[in-house]
Amino acid sequence: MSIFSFFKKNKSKEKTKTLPQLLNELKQSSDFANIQFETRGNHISIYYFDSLIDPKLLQQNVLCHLQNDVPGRSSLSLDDLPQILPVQRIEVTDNVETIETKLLKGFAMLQLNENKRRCVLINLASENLGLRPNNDSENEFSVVGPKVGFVENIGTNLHLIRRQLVTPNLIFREMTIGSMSKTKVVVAYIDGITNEQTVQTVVQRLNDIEFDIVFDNSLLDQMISDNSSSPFPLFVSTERIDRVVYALVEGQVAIFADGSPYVITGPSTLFHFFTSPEDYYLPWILGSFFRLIRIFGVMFSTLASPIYVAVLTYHYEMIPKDLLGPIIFSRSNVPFPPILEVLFLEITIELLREAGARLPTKVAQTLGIVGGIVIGQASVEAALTSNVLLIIVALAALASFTTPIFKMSNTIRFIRFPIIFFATFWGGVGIVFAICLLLIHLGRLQSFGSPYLVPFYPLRRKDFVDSLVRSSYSGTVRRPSYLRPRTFWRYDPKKAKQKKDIDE
Amino acid sequence: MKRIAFILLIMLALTGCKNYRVVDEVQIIQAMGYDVKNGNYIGTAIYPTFKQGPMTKPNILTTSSSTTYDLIPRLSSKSALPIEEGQLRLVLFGEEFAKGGITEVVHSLARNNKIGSRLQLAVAKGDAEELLRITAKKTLSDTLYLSNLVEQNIRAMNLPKMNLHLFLYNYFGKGRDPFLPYFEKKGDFVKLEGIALFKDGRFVGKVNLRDSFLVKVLLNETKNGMYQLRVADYRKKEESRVLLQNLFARSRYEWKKRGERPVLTISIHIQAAVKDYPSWLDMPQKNTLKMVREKMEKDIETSVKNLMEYFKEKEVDPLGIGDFVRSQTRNWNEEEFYREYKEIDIRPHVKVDIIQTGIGE
Repeated sequence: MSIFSFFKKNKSKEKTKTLPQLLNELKQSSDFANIQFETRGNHISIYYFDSLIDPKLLQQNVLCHLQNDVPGRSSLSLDDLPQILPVQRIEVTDNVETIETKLLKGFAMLQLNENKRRCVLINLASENLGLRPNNDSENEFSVVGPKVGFVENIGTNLHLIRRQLVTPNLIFREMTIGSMSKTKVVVAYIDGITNEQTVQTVVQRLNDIEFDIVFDNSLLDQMISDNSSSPFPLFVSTERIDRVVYALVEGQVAIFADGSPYVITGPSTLFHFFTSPEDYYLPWILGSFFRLIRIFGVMFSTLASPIYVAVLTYHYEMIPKDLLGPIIFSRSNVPFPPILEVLFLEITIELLREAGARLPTKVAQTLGIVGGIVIGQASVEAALTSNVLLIIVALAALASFTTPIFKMSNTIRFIRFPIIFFATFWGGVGIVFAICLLLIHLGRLQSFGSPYLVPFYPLRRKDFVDSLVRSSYSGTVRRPSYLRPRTFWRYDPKKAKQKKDIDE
Repeated sequence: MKRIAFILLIMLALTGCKNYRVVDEVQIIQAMGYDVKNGNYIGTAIYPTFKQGPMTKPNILTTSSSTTYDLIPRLSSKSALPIEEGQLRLVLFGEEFAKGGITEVVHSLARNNKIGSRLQLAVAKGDAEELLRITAKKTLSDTLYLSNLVEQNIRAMNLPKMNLHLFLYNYFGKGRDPFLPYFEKKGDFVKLEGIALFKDGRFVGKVNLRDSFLVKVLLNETKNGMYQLRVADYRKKEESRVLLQNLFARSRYEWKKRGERPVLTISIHIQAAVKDYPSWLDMPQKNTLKMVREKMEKDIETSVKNLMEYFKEKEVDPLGIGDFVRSQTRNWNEEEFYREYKEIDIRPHVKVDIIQTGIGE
């Protein structure tokens, strides 16, 4: 509460602040530097944040020119400076608010002859200082295809997108979010393809955000989400360029935030989360096959251990006669009911994953081996779990790794537990009940106002070409209809199909 | 939020109502035998104890009671774990018991939701208990010995398809009678002897394993079974046998009622392979083949006739002829039909095609 009121007071003060007041305030900081010197009777003072600017730029583009070129001139005014200084972004202003934000963004303020009102703002920001120059997209790795990923610098990211989408219709709309971080956020879409209503929704939601610091794009993701109490991610967030470009071409909107290597694209459907760029780089039969395997993996991962619990607790009739022996034998020494046995192993695997993610890579590798082999084997030998369950849980964990989007694989990790509880309370009926609840929930979800379960609900037959399977490129000429794109055809399908024989 | 909390609370409260049947905390019985001795019913159950993976050790529990209803509850009084019949694969009836009627037991099985419809029922010559004890005693034997035996013979040999579901269909269906596999004790072994015929839930007669091939063919299309027939060479005056393997057989019925005597024509078409034959038979020769074929046709025709005579004599209809006739006639009446069942003139027409004789010159 006290922090909140502090900001409120500050805001009301800001309106009446004068330039000397601002300077006094900034001078409290030790990295706020001030250079003053005289050239031919002109008193020049330069203010800047030492930590934000590039000293090389200051020397080469400002100080050098001021000391060498100014002496040759008869008179010097503020408005002459943009011609003297070889800096791309330079402006003359007397607006205190602009001065403050620009100073905080790495501009230098130059005052001439103690003219206290007007000043020149020169861009000397060192954009890449401390940021990595490139990203090998290792979190969403694909063997085939480009391996360039987005980085923390939004300028670089926009550059990467513009380089691939060479069209004047690619629109970037910039805005600033965060009362303290003043993060630059860019909404990208292709004019003439993307539905304006979607763009409007996105822009409006972003504008409505009241927050102090935007650490990452995922914060925006949560704040603009249609249903914040759902475990399912409603927008794809990716660090791959091809994914974002494909989404834009389909008619989606992409949101970039400065300082985040992840880009949000939406509106998304459930199937976007099981799509990997590799599906499009492989022949369509292989791409479809691997996509189906992935979807099977998700179902297996969420249902395997609940079914184990339900069958062993309630439905022993269902066990095939040849499996009865191994299951009973491996369970005969386990002192727990199936539910505790399953929870024990599932939580062990979750612990392993968490530990693996928090530790340095080299240690994590060792941990994986120790956890996977030693703990698994030991827990079976200590009769804490059964052999059969160990295999089921390990396979389920493996299957959940196949989801290409990290957010979705987290959801799948989570969704298993309520189903396990349903299975232990009500057996098979419980599982069916849980699946029904899940389907109802999914059917009600929306992503930027468009349905999440499309093309299944509502049924869109034509959109099936790129959902469960990835049809060949001649089949995916038409953009999916749920996005309501302004033009449906990605390219002229007749031209593409034309046969060009040599002798005609 | 309040509602969700309430639902969660109810869910927790409901956990007390659950009926746990954890798979390793129940005694799963896999075969059950019913006998009657001096007016007392005896129930025998085989349950496995699992030792090393798939290896099982069969154990036997026996109890007696004056009714069939409380046999399973009485078994519980001898068992450390609750008895569960959900994995029951075979129910074996002693001959005496079967003669007294198996309706009560089958009704209770049919209503029991834990029991699958692929359960096998069977009749044992003598005591069911004795047979079950033999299967349990054998080294390395498993508790599913008898049910596997039945299934194997249905799949590959002369036994027609049967299980609880088909039994109930034949039992309740109008114009058909049920039948079950029939076991006999042969020394230290259990041997499948043929088919036991039932009338109104009572064991009334049996068909041997050779003729059960005919039952199988007459019931529906079938792709397996073995049939042996005698061949005699008039020159050599010596008798020998030929073993035929059925490759594909189908039967077709035709019902005619002109004049006094109704006529049922059964055309049977068997495509067979000659498996084994005596060395003096020159099989690839056309004449020999023809001879074997004609011999077989004649043989089967007489066998079918004899079989039908037996059915008529016992007044059973395992082939569902009544049901077939019902589908062909208006205002079919069960009682009326079976009154003149014995009068039906049955004319089998058998056609055999020998399509394989094995590799050789």
